[in-house]
Amino acid sequence: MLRTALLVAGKDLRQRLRDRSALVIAFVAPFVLASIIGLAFGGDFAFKATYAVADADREPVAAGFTDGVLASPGLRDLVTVRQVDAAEARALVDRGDADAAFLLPAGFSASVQRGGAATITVLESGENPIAGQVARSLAEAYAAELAATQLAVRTALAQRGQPATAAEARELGERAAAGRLPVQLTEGQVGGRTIEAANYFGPSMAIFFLFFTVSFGARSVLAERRQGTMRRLLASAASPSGVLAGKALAAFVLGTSSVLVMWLATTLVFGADWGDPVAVVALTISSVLSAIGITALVVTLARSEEQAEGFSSLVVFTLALLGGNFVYLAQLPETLQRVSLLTPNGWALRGFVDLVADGGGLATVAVPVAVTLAVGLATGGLALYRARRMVAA
Amino acid sequence: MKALMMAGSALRRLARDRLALFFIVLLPVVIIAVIGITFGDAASERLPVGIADEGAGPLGDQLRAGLVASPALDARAYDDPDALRKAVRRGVVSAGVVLPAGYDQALRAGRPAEVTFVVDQTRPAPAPVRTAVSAVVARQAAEVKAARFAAERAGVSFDTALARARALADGQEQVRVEATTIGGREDALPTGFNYTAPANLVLFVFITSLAGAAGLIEARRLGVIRRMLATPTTTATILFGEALSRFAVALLQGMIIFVVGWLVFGVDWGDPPAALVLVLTFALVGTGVGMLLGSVLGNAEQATSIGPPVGIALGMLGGCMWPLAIVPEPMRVIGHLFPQAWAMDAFIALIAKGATITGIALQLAVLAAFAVALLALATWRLRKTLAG
Amino acid sequence: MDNDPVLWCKDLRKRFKERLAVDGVGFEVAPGETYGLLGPNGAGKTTTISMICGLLRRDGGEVTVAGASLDRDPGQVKAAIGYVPQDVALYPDLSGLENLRFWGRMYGLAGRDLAERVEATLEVVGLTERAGDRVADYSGGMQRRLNIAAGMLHRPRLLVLDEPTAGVDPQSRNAILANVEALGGEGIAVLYTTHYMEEAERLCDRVGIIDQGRLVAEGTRRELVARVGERDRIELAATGDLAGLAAVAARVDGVDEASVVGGGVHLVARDGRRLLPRLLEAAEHSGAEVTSVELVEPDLEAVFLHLTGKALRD
Repeated sequence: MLRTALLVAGKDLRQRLRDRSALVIAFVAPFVLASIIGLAFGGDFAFKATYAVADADREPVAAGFTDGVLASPGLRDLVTVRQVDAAEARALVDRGDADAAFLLPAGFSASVQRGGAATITVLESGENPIAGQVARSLAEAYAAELAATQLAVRTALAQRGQPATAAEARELGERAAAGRLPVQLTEGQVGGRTIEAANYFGPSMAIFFLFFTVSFGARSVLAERRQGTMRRLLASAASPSGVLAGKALAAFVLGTSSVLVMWLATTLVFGADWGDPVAVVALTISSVLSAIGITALVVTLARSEEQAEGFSSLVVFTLALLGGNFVYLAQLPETLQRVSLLTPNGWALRGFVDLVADGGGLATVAVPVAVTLAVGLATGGLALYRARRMVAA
Repeated sequence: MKALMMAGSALRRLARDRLALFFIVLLPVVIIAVIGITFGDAASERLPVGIADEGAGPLGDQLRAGLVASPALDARAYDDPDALRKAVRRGVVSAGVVLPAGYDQALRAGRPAEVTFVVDQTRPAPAPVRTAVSAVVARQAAEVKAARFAAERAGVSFDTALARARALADGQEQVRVEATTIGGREDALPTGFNYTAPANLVLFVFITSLAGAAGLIEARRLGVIRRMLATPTTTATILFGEALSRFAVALLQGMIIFVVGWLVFGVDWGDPPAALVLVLTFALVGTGVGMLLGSVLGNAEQATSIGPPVGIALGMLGGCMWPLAIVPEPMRVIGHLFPQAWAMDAFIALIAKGATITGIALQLAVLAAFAVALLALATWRLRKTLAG
Repeated sequence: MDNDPVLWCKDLRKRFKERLAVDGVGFEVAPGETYGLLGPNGAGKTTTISMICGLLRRDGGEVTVAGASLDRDPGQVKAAIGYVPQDVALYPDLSGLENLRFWGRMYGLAGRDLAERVEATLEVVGLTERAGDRVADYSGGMQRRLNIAAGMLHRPRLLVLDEPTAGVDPQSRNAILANVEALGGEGIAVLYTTHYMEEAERLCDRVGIIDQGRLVAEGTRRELVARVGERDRIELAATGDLAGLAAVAARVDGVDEASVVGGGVHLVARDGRRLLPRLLEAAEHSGAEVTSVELVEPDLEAVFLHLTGKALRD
């Protein structure tokens, strides 16, 4: 039986390696896709924006924004600022020559210093939403500073209980404006470690294509039947279990190496870090087993090779959709997020992301490994039962 | 005439293939529905935000109360930051706020404090969440700043000054930011079904066309084409018929998504004649791709197995999975090497910007050029193989 | 020892739901002997072979190959058989050489022995030069030859060939038949199924005639023909009322059997040559017009017609 399994597995792998489309799906496509997404979302690209500023006020508070905020050391290299008038600013954004514009009306400073209302208008270009968002948050942050200063002055005056002269009010304002806000909102990560795009999409794409890769194995059982080679195998004293074990072994080798090659490639090319190697290997193995089990079961449920082909791409597509390989889970409604946990790839993905984010070893991925392993064994067992009958018939 | 007959027979074979129908009709509709709901108009709902309090004290409680009271947020408590981080990562909440231990003491003692805003780097938090959380934090920052300043100036206690600042903040006139987007009808990017319907139309017409190459390969391999050549039919007619068959299937798929999107999901496709011309042109591109692939590949299984991954990859590059507006410039340029990006540009122009056919003339011309080039290449290759 | 049959089977039975596919078939094949299982499509030939090769569960009966019982030693039985399926059961995406190596290994060959056998077998089937090409690129006849080669790599005691010439061009067919003839000469027992009477006549030392799951007759060609007696077969090609012609012809004295076959009527008759004038005279009144007459010496076709009342191919 072992000899049969090894011979069949060797033969199957030889066939797969000769089929260029299988190689593309197992090794090329997942890496290309992960690279594409990595480049698209990776933090490596420099944010650059051109902003137009129309300062109709030309007083200190407005200048605090145009000369202070926009020309600050942190922004100087990223943002090109063009000082224009309001009409020109609007035209620049409209033409797409500027990504956003700030309009500071005449009397802006005076109104702020009086403790009154004031408005910074941000014109965003629909062509570049990111630059628009950045512009808006710059303005909001400055508005918050101004509001805080106003509040400080008013509180101080109210506490003193007597009205201030204009000079006093100005002096208070200048003092209050000094210093940062006492509470800052800083961005924190979702794990103990940074999740780089390559760390996230590497495993995600590997898992997505894993199902396509592995389904070759199950479909080849049907091909053997169609070609008559299955009869020939069984006539040569090979047991059905031996043949099926060989098929599963070939699928396992191909699937595992597909994920591991992805791991190696993203590590070497993008410097990705998938986390603890032992846990990665364990999760890879259990994920591959679940993919083999499911695709095998799907194929044994089909009546013809064509149907099997259709069923398996259907199942793979659906699993990928529900498992979050393409849609970001976070943006799914809550019920659908729970549905993703009905899919083995959803669990595998969760395991890989946990590993990237939380670090740790086997313990981090214990549940995902257990779930995918259970799915693999259950579906694989059922498939084996059905396939033995199919082969014998 | 014979070409029409061939196309008719292709459609009839399709109608009998229940599985193919499932892929062509049902799957795209289901995906549009799922993703459309996913990316649907979320602004009307309160967005879930998790809060983990590490022992921030009274000022932390105040901040939390502010978040709970915010009309844009659905605040949920988490026991510890790790649980919160996991929840953000899994998307149970769209962002998280961690209130650090010693927050209250630090602020009272005149030291700065930091509130952590937990987001997943791989998917930015929705803008309304960020704005709402910033506003609540900014307000507390202003109050604390005012209280410190007033306490110092007037020699009263921090708490007294803080109470005063809070009272004054409620009635304060505001320094506001008013943001408007120009260069679009409302927003330059369509949302919800208005985005996913055209995106999936482009995606699936292409995938179906790739997979449709299998039929051509089979016909070549089984000698059906040779047999046709033996009948009094010219090579040109047969190639035209094969192309027409693929075009019929691509157009059928496109029109189904178009009509279902319009009637079921209420998609506003913009100027109807322009949209139809666009669907037609893209179906021609699909035809060219199917014919070319059918002329290059050796067996039908390769076409069916390579179709989905290649289609998905080009779909990602071309903006079918997410708008190209959100990717960096180099990726946008790469995307426009493929027809998907041009088709998506045209659909977005029609749907979101109210463009008419003249407004998408450039995109239509580029797509037509793709179609002509692909079809010419395919015809050349097929003529060579058929002659040999 | 040498005279013990390589294959011995008895009372094989198989039922598929309602249909009794094989009903009590049994025969022996001696070393060096080529045994033909002759019968029309659907007679039960492939079912019988499948049971002998252990591919199909038997409802009853016994099989012994090279002294090993299929019930007790299925592995040994399978190892002694070289099975050549009806289809070209090979991997089209692998080369001829790779296919042979794989199948040789499946039968336990390895190392130098494997290499030598593969080389020798390729030589026998005349594919040495094309060994490195993918099987998918072979012609139909070459694929058939390789199909047989894969079954004889491991020097089986019994080679089972299931309709190896079905759908093969005449030239390749001759090559295949020559190969099978040579195998008999090497002392291999061959079990050969076909519905081509000519093949059975040319190749087989003994023939078993199978119809509707039963072995209706068995023996050497001479023995079988003798069963029909020294009778001739007369083939009348005719147009018009063929059934009428058959009925009229059957009434002619000396005609034993008459049946409609294709575009004519086949008769079995004693001393056919002398019968011809009377036969043609009778045909005049039958409503059919005889366009040609052929007198055939006794053959297996006649035997089959005699035993089953129908033609081998219809």
